[in-house]
Amino acid sequence: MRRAGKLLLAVTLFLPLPAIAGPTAQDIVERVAAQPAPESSAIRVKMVLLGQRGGRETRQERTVEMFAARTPEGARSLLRFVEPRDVAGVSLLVVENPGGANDQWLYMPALKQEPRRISGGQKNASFLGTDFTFADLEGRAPGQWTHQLLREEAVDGHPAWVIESKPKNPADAPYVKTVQWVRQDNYVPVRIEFYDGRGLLKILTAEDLAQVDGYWVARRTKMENVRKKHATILEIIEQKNNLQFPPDFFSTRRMKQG
Amino acid sequence: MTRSPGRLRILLFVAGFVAFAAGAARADWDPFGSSGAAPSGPEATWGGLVYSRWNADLVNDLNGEQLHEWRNKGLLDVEITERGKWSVHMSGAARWELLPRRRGGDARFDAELWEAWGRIERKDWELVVGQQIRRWGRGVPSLLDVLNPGDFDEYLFVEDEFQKRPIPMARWTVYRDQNELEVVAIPFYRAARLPGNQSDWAPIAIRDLQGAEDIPLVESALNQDIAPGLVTEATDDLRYAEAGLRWTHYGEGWDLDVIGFFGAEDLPAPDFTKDFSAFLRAEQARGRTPLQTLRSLAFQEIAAFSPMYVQKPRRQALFGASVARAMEKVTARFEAIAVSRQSTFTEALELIRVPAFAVLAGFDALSSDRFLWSLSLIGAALATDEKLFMIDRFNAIALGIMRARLGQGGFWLETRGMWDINLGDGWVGPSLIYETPVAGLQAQAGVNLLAGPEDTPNGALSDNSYVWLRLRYAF
Repeated sequence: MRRAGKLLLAVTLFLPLPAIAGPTAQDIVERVAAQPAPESSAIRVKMVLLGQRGGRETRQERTVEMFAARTPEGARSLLRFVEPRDVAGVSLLVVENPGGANDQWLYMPALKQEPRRISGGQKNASFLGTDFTFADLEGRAPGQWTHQLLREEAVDGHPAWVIESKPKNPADAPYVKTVQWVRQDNYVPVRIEFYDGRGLLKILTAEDLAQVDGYWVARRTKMENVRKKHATILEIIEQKNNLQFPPDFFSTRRMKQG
Repeated sequence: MTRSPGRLRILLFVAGFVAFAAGAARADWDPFGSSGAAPSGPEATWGGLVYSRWNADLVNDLNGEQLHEWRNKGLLDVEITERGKWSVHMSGAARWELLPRRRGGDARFDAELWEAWGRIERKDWELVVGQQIRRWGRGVPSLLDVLNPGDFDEYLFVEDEFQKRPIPMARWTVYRDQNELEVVAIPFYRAARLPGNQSDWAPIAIRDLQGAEDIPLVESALNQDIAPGLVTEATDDLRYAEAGLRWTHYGEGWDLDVIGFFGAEDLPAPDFTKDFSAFLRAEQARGRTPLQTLRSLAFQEIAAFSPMYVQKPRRQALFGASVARAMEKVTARFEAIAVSRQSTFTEALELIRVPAFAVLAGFDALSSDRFLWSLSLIGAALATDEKLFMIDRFNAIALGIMRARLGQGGFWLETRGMWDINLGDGWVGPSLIYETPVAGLQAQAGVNLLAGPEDTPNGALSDNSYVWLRLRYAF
């Protein structure tokens, strides 16, 4: 999965493929990872942060625009906050350098400065205050994990495979294991549990599946941190796929243009 | 010399600019346009923020000082944008402050046009014209941040949004591949905003007078007797126009900025009159240092020397460069700047203008939402053999900010600080931030502690250390 997809691909799912009788866990996971995705996308998302403070529920809403494209030079993504006003215009640009580290810039209009280059090394840090980490959004190469088919069970009436994945090199992995439910009719993971050394940490659920331009899309994605009792919900407001972005769209200049 | 130009002129300029931009705009690409990738129409947004802060001095040791302050500020802005074509931005700032003193008090209110600019965008360039704030450099502090004058009304403790004063400016930026070339023209000189004569942050000799005399009398008399020569906040004299150039290259893993700036010093440096300089020398011959003489001046003596000093914009040229490089977990910044002539004072309080050089190494860790920090180390040198007043020829300064989230309850611990390694003076400002459940409303409580020997900038102001409570509401 391309890095430029990141958050975008967390909410954009894939083309259905015909089910195969008796696939192994490795087969299933490779099918999921190999699904064709849009070459480019523009998505407007409502981001809802749910938490608890003093026994009361808190709710923060943000509107975010996310743009992503694959180019011959590597993947590109631009994320920009639209609302609320105090974060409007804050932008993150990620430029993938094949064979090298990504370039990342953060633009904060209130500073009246040019975009600032930021390091991309904090993979386990929260992504802009959400329950997603940078590592969550990068996806995982199936070959770096070992997979085991645990069982088959239904999710919301749809048959699904339940697959446990453990990293081959735990020192480089953000989790000690994940367990995912992959729907058998369309190879879409609709639930993923993330475990660290202390047990279950987070649960990702993909809801309201629909096909947009032939691609499966989860219109509502929820990442819940069960330990912090905090959750992030992403609801797609608008999505356009396979757009022809202008050559200078994924640029530091574009970050400033609002 | 006159004060700032009429605001009406700026408004008329912006209006004309908008008319020009609207007529000449090119079509642009908007992925969320009403018809696929077609451009959408103009969008208007507005917002603002309000600060309300209460300060209380930790030490009541100076007659007439402000033991308590209540400072309120607001900023309201409107922006109309047609994506990729043009924007117009207007904002206004208001300030209402209650500054009670032991004897008498002071309440002041003022409102001003803050930023008023228009921007047009083309395929390869953009032009921004009007009253604006523009900060070169990619960190705070940055040696390249030389365009707008600062606001030192409360020394170094002005809120982030108000640390720079907007000024009339035109900027033309050309974009080509991974390069940017920006040309800046600043037609009218504007000085940094300094504390008034009634302020606790005023120069030390004036603060001594505040303690010895009736405050309203000192304020009025100082303004009348020495201010005509002292205050050169603004002039429309085009001889003091400023110009700058920035070239930026975005590389793989690093960014480069190179600047040149031809302008005038933003911090006004007073040049004492011959009579007063002779008086200082005479007192020095009797064994009193200029600082001791200044601090012992009686009100009548100051009036007798009126005008005590004169002040005017003093030109200088600056050349600087900055490299930012992303590392594993931090971004490193290296900056250097050379200044053709920098005003400073000899120990005998004579104004001299000498070449100056500074380098900065900065490290920023900003991509975490739980623990952010930034540390800057600055080395500065003045090319002179003279012994200097209150500073050294060589200075080494460390500045830092750290912010850490405390649990999940909406609390943050923040600490800002600065330490001059040569002089042994500095300040530290720890505070606790609470993000309330009300969207945009933040409460913060902290203390600003200044320390150092009495003949250093922070040491001389150490009796102004204070605790503070603040509400910030952004909407």
